[in-house]
Amino acid sequence: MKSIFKRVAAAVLIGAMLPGVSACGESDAGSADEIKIGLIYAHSGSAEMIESLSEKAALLAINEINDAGGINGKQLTAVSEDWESDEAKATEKAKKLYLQDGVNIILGTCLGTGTQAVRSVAEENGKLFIAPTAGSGEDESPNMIFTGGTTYTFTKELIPFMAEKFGNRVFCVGSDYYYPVRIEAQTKALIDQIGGELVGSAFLPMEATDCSAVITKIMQAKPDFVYANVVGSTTATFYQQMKEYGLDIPIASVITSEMDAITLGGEYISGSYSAFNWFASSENPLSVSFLENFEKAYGRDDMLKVNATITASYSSIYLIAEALKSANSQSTDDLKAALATAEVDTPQGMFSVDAENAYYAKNYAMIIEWNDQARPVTVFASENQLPAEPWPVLLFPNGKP
Amino acid sequence: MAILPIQLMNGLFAASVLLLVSIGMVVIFGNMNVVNLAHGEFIMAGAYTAWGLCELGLPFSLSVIGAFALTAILGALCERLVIKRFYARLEETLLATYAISVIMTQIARLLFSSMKKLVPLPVSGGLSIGSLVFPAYNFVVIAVAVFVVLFVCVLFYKTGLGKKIRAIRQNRQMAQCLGINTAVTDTISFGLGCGLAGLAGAIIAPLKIVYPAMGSAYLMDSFSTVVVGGVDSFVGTAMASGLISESTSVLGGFMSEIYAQIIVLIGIILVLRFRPNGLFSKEKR
Repeated sequence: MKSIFKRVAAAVLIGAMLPGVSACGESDAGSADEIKIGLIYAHSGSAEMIESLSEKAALLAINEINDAGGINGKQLTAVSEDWESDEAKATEKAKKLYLQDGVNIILGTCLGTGTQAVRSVAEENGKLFIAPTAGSGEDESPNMIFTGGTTYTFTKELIPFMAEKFGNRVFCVGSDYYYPVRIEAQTKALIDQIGGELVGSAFLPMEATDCSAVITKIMQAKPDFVYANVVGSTTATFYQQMKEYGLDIPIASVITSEMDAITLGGEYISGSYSAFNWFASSENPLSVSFLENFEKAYGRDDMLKVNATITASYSSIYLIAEALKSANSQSTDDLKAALATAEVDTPQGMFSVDAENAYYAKNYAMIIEWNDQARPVTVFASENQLPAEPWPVLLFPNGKP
Repeated sequence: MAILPIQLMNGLFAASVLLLVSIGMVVIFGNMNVVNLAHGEFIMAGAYTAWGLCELGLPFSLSVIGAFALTAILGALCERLVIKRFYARLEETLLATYAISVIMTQIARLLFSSMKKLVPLPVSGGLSIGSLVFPAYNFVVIAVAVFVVLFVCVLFYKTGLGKKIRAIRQNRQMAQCLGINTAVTDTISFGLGCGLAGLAGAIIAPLKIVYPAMGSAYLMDSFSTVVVGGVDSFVGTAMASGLISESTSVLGGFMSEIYAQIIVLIGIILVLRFRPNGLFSKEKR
């Protein structure tokens, strides 16, 4: 038996090395007329779909900036690495970018495991890391920024909106990992505050392919709406089975995005709601032109999948560029100071880091309803930027513990 | 509304899915003693074929037949080109089938990108039993599972081909001496096993989403079902699918599904501790 394991291990090792060989970036430190930005996105594994498009969005922004003359005369150069949706790989690739390629700032990874891995490396080495997504809060780091702010910001808008429209009996469903579990705790506090009732909650195993037990529980609890934060391939299964079991209960989510909607089609997603910092229905002229340019560069099929996280990759490059411009330096401290005050107009509206919580960017909130073409229709858009709330007052009345 | 009848019914449906994805493995693992690590990828290939044929405008039923045929041919090819050379060498077949699984996933990724595809349900809407409503397609899946088990049982126990396959399983050399062309029979049974996996993929395609890595989820499920049922027993696998799915489903109705899964997995370990050859394996000399 020993020989089997040896052989399997050898095969796995060789397999693991192959993509690394091809993905090797140039290892010289940045020359005088270029500024390097590290990009870590997954090209395989569970995060592949969203992250390969996120990388395309980031590259689009870098090309636009370079075409417009670069930053103080220097060209931006992307050094791309693939973390294969594997946190150990993410650590390895982040180390390579920071230490070998001499990159000071990395943008990438939308998945919790990846962001935590890159963040640790950034902290260890005193470098900067930007994640183009929202954090679940109750956490902060001096070396990292979540440009999507905190999920709570959107939950706080979505729950009262749904309660007013449909009634305040809520059923919470989530995938069984840290992020949805935090969201559920926050939702419970919000429902209490508006005098509603959490009539049930359930967590689904990751990559569950059958949601019928949870749907039976929902049938019995008879909620006015379901707050579902299910991830991965289970998202489609959940929305589909809700309709197939004849449940006509509206579903609200801060995770379901354009990408899930396109897979599902209008038949299953129409009449459901989502909230986040951006949707393709945004009327911001920069958003409209971003989608046009994305379509021109990568085709209509890819454009239809563009969601908030992909857009945030694009916007984050502009935020980084603004900071690089005003700092006119690449040192971590100068960049950090510049990022804290940088403000830039993006498809997602004015983009800036929350001075109170440098860990999170400030964001606008949008609520949308999915139509029968599986496209978003704006039903609410906040007028002002909303502060991130990593420690929601409802759960932490005395502030950060 | 009583939770028990609903979950029993849901369990029956889940059992049918599990049985469909496992039955091809019984043919290959039970009769040929090959652990096919690419089993999940043949399911994926069947799902993609069904999706592709539906996109071309073929009715769903024809797509399912097409998926069976295509994956069976693919399986037969794999047997002829690769597996054939490794019979009775467990380690090599493990590596070879693992390689096939990686190659198939990557080809799917190149052909279809990693974007998830959704096959429309051939029958939508619900059927009600009393006051309970179940998706109509669930009943189709249950019927297909019953049909497939009957089909393989008849094939294995009532036809000449089945007799040949069973004879080879019992004593390969003696079967050869008696003039059975074992090479052709092997190719047919490996193709049949892969075809059944492909058929399962086509049937479950409308229930789940289709993507290149979807197969891996089913490999462990079908492997544990086959081992619990007894590796060479179709009836055993059917019973094991029923037991595993019904207990997960019923327990899941009363507690968190995660705990239900843990309890069932502990049950599987206990079963294998006391009946290492599976619940329904025949006594062997």
